[in-house]
Amino acid sequence: MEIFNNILFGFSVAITIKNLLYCLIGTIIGTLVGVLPGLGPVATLAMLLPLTFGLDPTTALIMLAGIYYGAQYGGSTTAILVNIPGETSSVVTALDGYQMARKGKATEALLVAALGSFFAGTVATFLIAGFSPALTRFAIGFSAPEYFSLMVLALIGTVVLAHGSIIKAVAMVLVGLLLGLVGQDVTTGINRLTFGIPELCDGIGFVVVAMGLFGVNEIISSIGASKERREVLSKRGWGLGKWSLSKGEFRLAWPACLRGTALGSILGILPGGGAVLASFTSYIMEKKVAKDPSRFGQGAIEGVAGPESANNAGAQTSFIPMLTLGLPATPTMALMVGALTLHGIQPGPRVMLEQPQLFWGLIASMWIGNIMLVILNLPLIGIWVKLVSIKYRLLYPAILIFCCIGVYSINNSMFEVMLTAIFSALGYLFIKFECEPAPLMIGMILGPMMEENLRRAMMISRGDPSVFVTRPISLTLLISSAILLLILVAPTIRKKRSEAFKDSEE
Amino acid sequence: MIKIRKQNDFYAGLFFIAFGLVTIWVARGYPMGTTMRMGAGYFPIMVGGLLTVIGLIITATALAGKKESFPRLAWRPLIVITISLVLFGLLVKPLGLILAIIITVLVSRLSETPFRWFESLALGSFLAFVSAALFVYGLGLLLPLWPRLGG
Repeated sequence: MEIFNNILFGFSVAITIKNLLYCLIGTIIGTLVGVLPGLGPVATLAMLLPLTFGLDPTTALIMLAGIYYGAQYGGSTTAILVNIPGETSSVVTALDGYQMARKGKATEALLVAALGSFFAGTVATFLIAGFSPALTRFAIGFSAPEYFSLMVLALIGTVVLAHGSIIKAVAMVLVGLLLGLVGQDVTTGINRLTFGIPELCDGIGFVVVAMGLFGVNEIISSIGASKERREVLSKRGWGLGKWSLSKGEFRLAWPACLRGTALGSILGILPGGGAVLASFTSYIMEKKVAKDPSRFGQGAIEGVAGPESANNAGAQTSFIPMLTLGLPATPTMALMVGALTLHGIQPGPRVMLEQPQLFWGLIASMWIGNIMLVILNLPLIGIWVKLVSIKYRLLYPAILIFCCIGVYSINNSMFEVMLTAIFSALGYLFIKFECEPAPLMIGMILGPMMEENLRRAMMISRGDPSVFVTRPISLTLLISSAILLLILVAPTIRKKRSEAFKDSEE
Repeated sequence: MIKIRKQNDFYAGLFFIAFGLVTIWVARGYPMGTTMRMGAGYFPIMVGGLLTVIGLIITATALAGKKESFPRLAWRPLIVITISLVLFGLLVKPLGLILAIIITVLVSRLSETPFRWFESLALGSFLAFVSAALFVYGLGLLLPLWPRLGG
């Protein structure tokens, strides 16, 4: 079997002392990030990206990936034990997980979360290994028109899955596309939209934007929030019992875990999906299929098992479009694409063929990282809970300083620190406008690629735009985009969509 | 979230219009090229134009709806945190990492009341120490630690 050979090759790459060490570091940092509210994976990845310059790309990506899925684990631990979701994706875990803990079932909740995540992670690893080669073979025949149509589909997907107003999400994508164009034009060499500022000729760094919109902006919003929720946190005792599940609990949990894994795997692949959407949708689904929905919010074990499996599956399968097509589905993946580019690797279907050690090593490391997380997390729970009780006023200056050092150390540029300040303020304004920053981030990464492929497509077709509908794959992709758009404006679905988001935003 | 605050939309729309128009205005000087050979101006003007149109739609629908006020901005943290970032950028080269961090932390803590002198100073020093150990000695980043004397 080809897939097993590939996975074995991956393990031979991942199981070296260096790669294991960085995988461990990544997962520990990830857990830490997951535990601490106000510090998300996007900001952390942006912060740590410059530090991976010295590593070889495989090791760098193994560590960065560890941070991402590690954060999903960490977030659930504090959500269950102290009702503080460290990550957006574990907001729903807190609903039932914390109620379980209050009823003296903390260990059961933690165990279900850990095992569910591990199961989902394992399935997702095999899905990536199984699907990616086929998708790569398919995509390798793509030329400019197909790529352009694919990006249209990706951008529309991002809009569909964004929270809140659709038209504002479209506007944010366009703003992102324009921001991505700043700097020297690859084809003509003209400096565009730089306002005569020489530092802008290389373009706006995506680390700068990610840090401003997701890192610093979060600090401003948190301080500005009316009541300090974290300050009134009561240090309640939680007894940890035996690490086992009763038969009845197991019977309820495993189907939820299966459903969550399936749902998360699908949503993870979609543009704009990823871990957050997966966990929210899974919670809603569990509530729908349950015999007695009133148990939800009172400590229903399915309410922990489903979303926890879903968010981990989603976190991992969102690597599929990034690794095979070079398309980022979420802001986190946008940063991964950026990380590849910074290491001189052009993201796209060629990565798997030209850098097999990176591709398969990364996949194998995800599975190893998942084992590390299960083993690590359980004994370290006491430490994680202590960390949560750190006062926010001591925490945010630290986040701020790390953001500063992270941005500054990319190019030793004071200008980029200033630019981060501008994007932080802009990000705060966007929040007040109720505009999601995620579509902007994805638009920004796709901007230059889209223009490049549009240009090439027009060159091939000698300026005839019908090239997009006469090539079958391109046409299929555009029809899919149109269907997505139609579904979006259909009134019934629109209502359902807002209900789903309303449900998820307690 | 789902309930549309119309004033939000109004200002958001204006922002998008402005962004689109500025783009078109700046890009007007770039060669447009032809559809077959697109110049540097083609794509930015296309996207900028689309953004302007969408901004207009957002603003127009906001005007039609019932009035809802804009949410209160937290000016103090917004201004203070932004300034502290700018300060770090300005200070890290001439003053070195240690002093830049202490000053940035002190300033950032002005974002809330009451201001705690001792705690902020201690926190700043602690973070300066940790950052120096972690980033400069640990990871070997090329950052000056102290002010450069004698230039």
